[in-house]
Amino acid sequence: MVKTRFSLGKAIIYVLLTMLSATIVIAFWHLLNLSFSPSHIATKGGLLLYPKEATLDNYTRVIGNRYIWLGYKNTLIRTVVGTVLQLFFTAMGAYVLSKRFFPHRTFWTLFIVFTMFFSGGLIPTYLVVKKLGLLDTYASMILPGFISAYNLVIMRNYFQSLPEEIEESCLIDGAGRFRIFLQIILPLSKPILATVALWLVVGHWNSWFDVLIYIADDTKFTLQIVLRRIIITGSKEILDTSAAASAAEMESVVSSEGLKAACIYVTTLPILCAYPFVQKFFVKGIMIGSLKG
Amino acid sequence: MKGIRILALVLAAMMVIGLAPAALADDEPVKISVASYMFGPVDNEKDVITPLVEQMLLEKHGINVDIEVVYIEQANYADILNTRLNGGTAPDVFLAQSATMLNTYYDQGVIKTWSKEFFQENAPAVYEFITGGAAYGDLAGDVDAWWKAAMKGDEMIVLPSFKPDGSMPYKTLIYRGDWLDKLGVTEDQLPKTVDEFVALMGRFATEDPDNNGKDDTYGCSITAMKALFGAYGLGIGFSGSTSYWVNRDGVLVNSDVTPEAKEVIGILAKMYADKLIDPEFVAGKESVEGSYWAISHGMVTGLYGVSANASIDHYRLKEVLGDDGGRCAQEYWAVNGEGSTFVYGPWPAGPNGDYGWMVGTPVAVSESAVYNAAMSDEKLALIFKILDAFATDEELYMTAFAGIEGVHYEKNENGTIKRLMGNEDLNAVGVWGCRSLYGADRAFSKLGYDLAFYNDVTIANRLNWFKKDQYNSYIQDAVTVTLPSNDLFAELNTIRDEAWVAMIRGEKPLDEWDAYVQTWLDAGGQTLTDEANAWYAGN
Repeated sequence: MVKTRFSLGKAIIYVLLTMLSATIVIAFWHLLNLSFSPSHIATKGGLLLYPKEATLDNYTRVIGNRYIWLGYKNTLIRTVVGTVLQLFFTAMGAYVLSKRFFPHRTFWTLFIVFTMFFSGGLIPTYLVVKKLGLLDTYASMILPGFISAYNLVIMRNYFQSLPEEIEESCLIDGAGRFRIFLQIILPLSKPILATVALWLVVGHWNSWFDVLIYIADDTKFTLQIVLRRIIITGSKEILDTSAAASAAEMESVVSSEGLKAACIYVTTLPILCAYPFVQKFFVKGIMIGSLKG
Repeated sequence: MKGIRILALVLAAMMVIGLAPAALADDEPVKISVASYMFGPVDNEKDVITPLVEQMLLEKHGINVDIEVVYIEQANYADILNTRLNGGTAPDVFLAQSATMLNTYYDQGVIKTWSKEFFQENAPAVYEFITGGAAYGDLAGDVDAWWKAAMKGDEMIVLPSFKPDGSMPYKTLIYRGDWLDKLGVTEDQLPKTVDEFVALMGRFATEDPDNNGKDDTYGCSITAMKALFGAYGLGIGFSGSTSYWVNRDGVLVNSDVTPEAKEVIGILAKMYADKLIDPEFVAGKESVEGSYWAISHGMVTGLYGVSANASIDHYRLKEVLGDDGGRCAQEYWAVNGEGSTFVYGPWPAGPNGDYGWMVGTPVAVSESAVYNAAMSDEKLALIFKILDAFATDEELYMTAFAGIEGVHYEKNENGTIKRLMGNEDLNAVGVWGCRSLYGADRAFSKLGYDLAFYNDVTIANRLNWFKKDQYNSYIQDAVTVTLPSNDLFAELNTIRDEAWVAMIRGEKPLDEWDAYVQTWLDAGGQTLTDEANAWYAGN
């Protein structure tokens, strides 16, 4: 029988970690209760540890909002298409750069790393997007940040850690470079692909600024823009009296706290659910990618 | 009978020919894109208002336009607009958002300019409304200020909003009613000069106004102390915030370093020495962390007798405003009992007859429309004709501003309206989408102003109250833009607060004033003063 020895250090770590996770869990729990609360309870404020009165009104309103569904559609399109394409092309770039025999490899690596520190700025990027005719298209949400130098370097490092011998034996068996990349390298690189894919998915899911800048057509607004609007509108109307200067104008209804909470749940739940499944790859991928550079 | 019919037909035909300029009505509609102040986008599937507005403009005014309402999120308005201006995709009509942004747009040449005559010719009704001092001539004294804000040199660049409530003081002197009763001071006898004010503070501190037999009361604390600066024509942000600039014979000086401020500090130091001021005025009980900012706890709980921490809306009195309540009034009644009273006080006047508290101006550009420099003069003329149509056609204005009666709004008995949907839903159906086409925030017309200010008796009462002598105020900031080195104020305000507190408490003599001014100037005050004067010279 293995004796588990009481260790003070361990106890402290457990207590601290429990407290840390409590700060996150309580907030989510409060928000969940808030989303099921009618407005007269939600606006009272204070911590809600259980729903005092339950209602589905907030969710009915959120689900009844056309923009939420349009947002879902647009977010899914940009997330799926963007992630798949970006992952594939980043992997191709990283693979090439991971090969020692690639001519001027250091120069090309530095050339790409350079973009991590210097960017063209908002307006030049906008002008490029506009000149390419991409305004108001899904491409404007995907192409401007298509290859992330950071992801590329992490992937390159991972590919470098794979033994050369596997590829050599494949070459002897008659496989071409592209086949090796597709059938050997990619399947061997699941941890790093999963890690980068997770970053890309979360990035696409959460991003809003590019939509704000490039998209004017409201049917192409993504979920985060809709969520932002509901939350900002809700608080702005209360704070900014100049927006509705007279008492008569201020009588109009504002989005309630409960509605905001329901909205947050509807928009973040999918990504929260996906996270644990990818997490197991996460630690492995990032460790190998970063340490064996 | 037949004759009348024919006459009517002829008249109708004449009206159609006369009112509908062929060039406007017959051709393709002119496209106008407008980015108004909105809470959400117009939903093309639900938009009933924009087509209705277009139809009315065409049928009643012969203006054939295709209005595209562009939604730009308010929180990032400037960023988005800047990119679109640079990319040539900005809408025809957009918001200036602030005086600083307006100047930037003007300097960059991205907004259109036009002459006063052009404006008068194309929007005669609006022109008349402005020059007549808005509805009921209420703002007759501010017409010059409106033109000054609207123009750069000989050209107009913006149509500023013109609000009768723009110069209401942010704060009001609120006296404890029970203390005044105890001392036998009636409302008419409230202090109207600095000397009378100091005398009453003395009585609050020494004559046991709370009747508890103890010497535990003071006159006032920091907020009411600040009212004394108004008596010297200054708008002072003492304790944290930035003070106003004053114009001294064409030279701008910050109120913090004026000789008048020194005089007030002298008075306050004497009041402190005489124990008329809450000794903990710095971190005292005016605002208590965690509770509502406008509640003056010291005044509410009977530590001192007057404060100026809240606006009149926080302490509403039925006999003055037509309704009672407000967040601070509720607290006051909760602490002091149902029948407890408070009284609005006049601002004490100084040696030159000045008085008041920092106020804004009825003229503001923060929600005003500006016009894309890329548009033609013809298009701008058309936009001004639309502006005029909104000012003269009540049906058109109500449609754009409120929607369809019974669906989007109901009329209240007092002539105001009750909206039947939330702001975002109203935006989705097109209400407010044309906001920047009918004015800065409301139509430049009697109807627009009646709906917003005069029909609601509580708002009208408030406006009237602030017309009363010494309850009104005129202390405005001489600088209306954010100065380039504005961030320096953070340190300057600390320097000021520390020096002033020390002088009031007698820890430093008043003779050190000049040294304080020098420190202030060296720490960036000079830079800001130069910037303020450079801005003033360029205006």
